[in-house]
Amino acid sequence: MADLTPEKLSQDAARKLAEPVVPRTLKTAITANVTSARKTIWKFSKANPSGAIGGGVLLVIIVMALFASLLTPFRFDRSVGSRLAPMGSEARAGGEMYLGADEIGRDVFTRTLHGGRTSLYVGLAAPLIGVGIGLVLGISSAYFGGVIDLTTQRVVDALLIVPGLVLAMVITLSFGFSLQIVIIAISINMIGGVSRVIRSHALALRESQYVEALRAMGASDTRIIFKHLIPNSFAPAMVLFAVSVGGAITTEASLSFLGLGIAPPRPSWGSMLSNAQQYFRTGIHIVLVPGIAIGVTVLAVNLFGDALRDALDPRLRGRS
Amino acid sequence: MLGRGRYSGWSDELTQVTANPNPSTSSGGDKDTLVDVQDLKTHFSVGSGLRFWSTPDYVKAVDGVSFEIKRGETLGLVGESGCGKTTLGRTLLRLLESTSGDVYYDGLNVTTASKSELRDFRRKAQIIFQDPYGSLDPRQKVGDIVGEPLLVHNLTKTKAEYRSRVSELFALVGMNPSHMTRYPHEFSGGQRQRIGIARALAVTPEFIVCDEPVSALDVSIQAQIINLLETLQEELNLTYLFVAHDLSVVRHISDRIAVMYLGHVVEVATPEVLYENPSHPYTRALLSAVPLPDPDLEATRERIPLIGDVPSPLNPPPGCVFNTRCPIATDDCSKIIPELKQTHADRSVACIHAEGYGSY
Amino acid sequence: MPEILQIKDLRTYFRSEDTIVKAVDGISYGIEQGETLAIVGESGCGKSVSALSILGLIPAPPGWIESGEIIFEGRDLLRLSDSEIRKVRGGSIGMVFQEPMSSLNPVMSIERQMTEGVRLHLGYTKGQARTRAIEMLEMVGIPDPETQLGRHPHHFSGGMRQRVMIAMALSCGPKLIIADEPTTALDVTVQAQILDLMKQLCQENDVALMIITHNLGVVARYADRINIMYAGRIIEQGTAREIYRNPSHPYSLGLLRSVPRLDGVRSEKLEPIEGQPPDLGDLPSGCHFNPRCRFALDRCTTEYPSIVDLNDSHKSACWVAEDIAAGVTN
Repeated sequence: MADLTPEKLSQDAARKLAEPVVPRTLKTAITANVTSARKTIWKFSKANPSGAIGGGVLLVIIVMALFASLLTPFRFDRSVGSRLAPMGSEARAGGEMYLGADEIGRDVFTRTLHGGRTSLYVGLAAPLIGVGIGLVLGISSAYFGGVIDLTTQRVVDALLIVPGLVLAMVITLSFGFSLQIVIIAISINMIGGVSRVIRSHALALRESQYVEALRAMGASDTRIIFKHLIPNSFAPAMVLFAVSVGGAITTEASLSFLGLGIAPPRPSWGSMLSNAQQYFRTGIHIVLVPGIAIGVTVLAVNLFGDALRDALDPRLRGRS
Repeated sequence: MLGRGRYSGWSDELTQVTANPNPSTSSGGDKDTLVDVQDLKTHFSVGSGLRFWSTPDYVKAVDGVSFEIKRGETLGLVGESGCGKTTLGRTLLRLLESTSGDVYYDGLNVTTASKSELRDFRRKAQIIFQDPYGSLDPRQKVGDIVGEPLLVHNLTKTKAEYRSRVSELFALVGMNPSHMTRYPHEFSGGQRQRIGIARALAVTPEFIVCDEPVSALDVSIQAQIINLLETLQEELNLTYLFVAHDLSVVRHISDRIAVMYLGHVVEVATPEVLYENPSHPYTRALLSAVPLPDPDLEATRERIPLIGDVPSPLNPPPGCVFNTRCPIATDDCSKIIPELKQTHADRSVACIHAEGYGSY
Repeated sequence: MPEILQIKDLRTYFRSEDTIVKAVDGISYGIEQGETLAIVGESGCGKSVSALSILGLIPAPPGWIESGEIIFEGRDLLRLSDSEIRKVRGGSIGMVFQEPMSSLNPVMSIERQMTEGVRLHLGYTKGQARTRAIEMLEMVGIPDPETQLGRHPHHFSGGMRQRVMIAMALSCGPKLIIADEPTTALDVTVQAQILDLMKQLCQENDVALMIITHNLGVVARYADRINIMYAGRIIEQGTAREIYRNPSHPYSLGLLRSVPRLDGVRSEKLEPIEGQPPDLGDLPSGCHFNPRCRFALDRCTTEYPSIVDLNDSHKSACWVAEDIAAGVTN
């Protein structure tokens, strides 16, 4: 360090900057990106094995749900076999029912795949919206303080007073039983809790010296919020998201159970689970399948979410 | 602006300081004075929420402070915790709102400046923080941290220009520019402090508030950073307000020193005068409390112990704030608030019992 | 004076991911009865870890004591069981920490915290313990002790809390008090009060005092003997006068020269020690200080220096210690 004079450093820097940038063709650009993507995934998997497994499982579940129609010959709303047929039974018109039939004779495997679409959609979209809005509210509350903080927090207080399920029920009753309304209803429940957590986190951030440094250099509020506060709130937001996924799926199940959720015959894991309860003794498979599906998905989301949060934290990346 | 030293190699846009067409009010008209503080008070109300039934309490962090800082000098500001020196530094830069009083920077009244005037001001006056760990955003690459002021003020036109400016800033503080893609946690405390200094220099300021810049660093690194600050001052014609509690460091780097106690400035003097013959009783006690690295000297030094603890700034004592712990206090001391008066060519004191008080 | 504590070749290591951090790597020293010994060094040198090792306070999963002996009152503290070492802690060895706010329990009254020690170690009854607590508070200069006993830590200022810590440390009549950066978090004027108090009480009661600090001034004023640590080892030992008048290790020399002196000449530039303290998980070979040393020889990069005895009390771990001591410097 002692013999690094400013002049010498400037020369080195100037030389580096003067090197020409090699132009790339589209093909080389794509291959370069694919290779670097593969490398990133490999690095991530090595550092976070459980996260990689979680991510892998999640990916498989999503793909299977998306291509549900291609993977089974049956329809999810038609009875194709005898009631509560055990796993591996034959359907009336031929073809194997891998996971058996439910109480009306519909193929459980087909319904699980289609149900996955619904549950995954709700389970990922509702927390995304809920955490997203909660993040914005929490940070603005914390950063601007004063009247904005007071009013926002009183609104949040009101939200938190009403029991979650009741609020969701009122919304679906008033606005209809479509998928979108259900998602909105569930996400509204999350906003309150998320904004509180993010607010306290952002309050601490606001007092940090680097935020003070930003104000001292004349940075605008927008810049501070979007380039600094939000990225630094990513970690708690990620945790809140992962934790909310399970809750969203089960809230949707409760709504379906009460008949105030997504209209049948469109399946969801939650509704399958609630309908199957009475058949616990006679057809345990129709209870276990959706239950395990929910459990595995929630676990996968949590593992992957944890790993993602750690991977995006520059402090845990070590030397770059 | 007259020759800005090493800045002179930079483009005109970078170095041009927008002249102030309508200075809000005058401040003594002395071309030599860069910062002029007049009876500044910063009080914080304690207790949040709505209170209808009781009058709020105030922490009188800065309670009537007046001084000047001349162009090119380093004014040291010392005092113990709670004396208000950190609050004062931030109020000067309008990072905190003052309660009353004025701060003039080169003719501009900072305390009443408009938003656009304040933006220009932020290019001339910067701050270096104490905590090398908390003062850098952990999620930003250090090159982006140092370059952000350039983006905020649109100081560079092209990406290449931006990158070369950032490299120059790194070199200026003795860091290797190829490290600009790293993150703060990969550097040691001393290096992070250098990054913070580079960030402050990005806007080519004239005046820097150094808020305890070396207190959080190891002893062997402190000297490196102090030397760096001194070199930068010479090369870039900087003016410093150097806030610290380490009296030896302040003595080394300052041209004049102000001593604060409980929101008031009690003595201002050059280092020679202050350390050899301190006038205010608090200054005397403070200096005697600093242990020297010399066992023989220590054994024979005069010690002036102070009674009790520092009073709370919520409820400062009446009259002279120091009278409750002062070894030479008399009855008058709790009735009169002493003003800072010049007693000597190089000294001002706020003590009615000080030698030469009121007669200079 | 007889030695009451002897440390022999102590090594305390920590596991961090896949490296071993050698926080303390072979230190040996002793403390005499009633003396004040200072352990001086910067952050990361291992001084706090060595103190925690004495009392068995090293967190067990990441850290362990690799080897060494700590002889106190005829027993090796490192071989004691958990319950036995707990009797020593707070009993015959008292400890004062840096942050009085976090070392005092914020929800317990001062009385409860102060009486805990004597009731546990000396078997006092509640009444006896309370009397003792009032005595101790008076001894450390806290006015109106009876009322103060019922209060909680947040009612006290930093200086007063530290006085309470000192009272607690002394309450069981220990032979040794270990003070880890006891005044770093306090203002200069309060620092002076607290250190004066500690020194005075220890002298009156013939208690040995080990002060761990990075402040060279504090050490000069209060210490009888000094150990200077760097990167897990002691690199120089001696009386206070010897260390300050005649530093014989490049690190000590560099430290003393790089600190601006209140009473010295206002020089143009300070003389810092170049470079950074080493990464304890990746130490340089040979002498740990060699990358930053202006006197380094080839030998310094390959062999760790053996200890040079400059006289009975003054030792230095440097190949050129004698030259430095004699003032032969470039």
